[in-house]
Amino acid sequence: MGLKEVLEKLADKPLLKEFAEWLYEHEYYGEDAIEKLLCKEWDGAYPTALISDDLLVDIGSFLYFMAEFALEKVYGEDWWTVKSPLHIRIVPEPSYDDRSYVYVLELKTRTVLAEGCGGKTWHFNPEVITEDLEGMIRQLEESKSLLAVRIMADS
Amino acid sequence: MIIKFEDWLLENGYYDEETVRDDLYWRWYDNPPSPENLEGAADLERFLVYMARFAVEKVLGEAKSRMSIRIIPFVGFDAPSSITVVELTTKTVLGYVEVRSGRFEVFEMERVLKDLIGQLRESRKIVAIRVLVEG
Repeated sequence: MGLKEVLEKLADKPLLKEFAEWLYEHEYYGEDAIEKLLCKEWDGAYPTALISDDLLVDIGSFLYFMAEFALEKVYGEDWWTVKSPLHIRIVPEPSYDDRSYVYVLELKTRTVLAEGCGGKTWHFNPEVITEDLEGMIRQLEESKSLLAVRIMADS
Repeated sequence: MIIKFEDWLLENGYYDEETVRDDLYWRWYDNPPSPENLEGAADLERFLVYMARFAVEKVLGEAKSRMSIRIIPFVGFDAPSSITVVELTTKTVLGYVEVRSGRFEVFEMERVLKDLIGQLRESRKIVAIRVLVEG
């Protein structure tokens, strides 16, 4: 299946469609994997067909990419480079039998910018992934004013 | 610091005496966690949690029960491993320490514990100010 067909399946889900394009452009996954991850419900804690040697690494990487996508949307693509005045880290906390989380941290002001996921990844589906992405984007938007206050207070 | 940590590990029954005295310091040095050594990675992840719990108990004591604290261990293969301690009510990173897990031995453990404890001590003041100012 080509990327075009995958994107057609996500035509009514603009955020997931954008995420799919972003994952492909960054070469994090190929078209088939993106289709299994974003277009249908997972058949376990992670799509069985995509499981590698370490399920936790698989889940953690996907959560990391969700947070990175949300970060890039809100803080721009230079968030990790020397051009950025911030010192941001993404820390995933994957689990296959319990809740999984992904945290976005700013280390200069010691601020938690976002806490993503917060549920089990069992039977993750397009709706849940969309909600999680929206939740992280919202938290990151809100974090801008909190960061501004803390940077001012610290200086 | 490492001696106190040893005693704490034994008191809590996380390892037996033989493991703590003979094996713990070289456990991951000769056999670093990697995609081929996932058991070692899980083992190290547990140990990072114990280090963080020890530091949190030592610095925050009873105060920790009034805070919404999360300990996040991370064992990286390409990226550095880390221990993160966050407080979610005030959205504060209480501690974040990167760990050289490829050559993880007693001097690195001591450095990580000291660094984490130092950051947790500083964070008490930061959290108090944030509660006061940000409500």
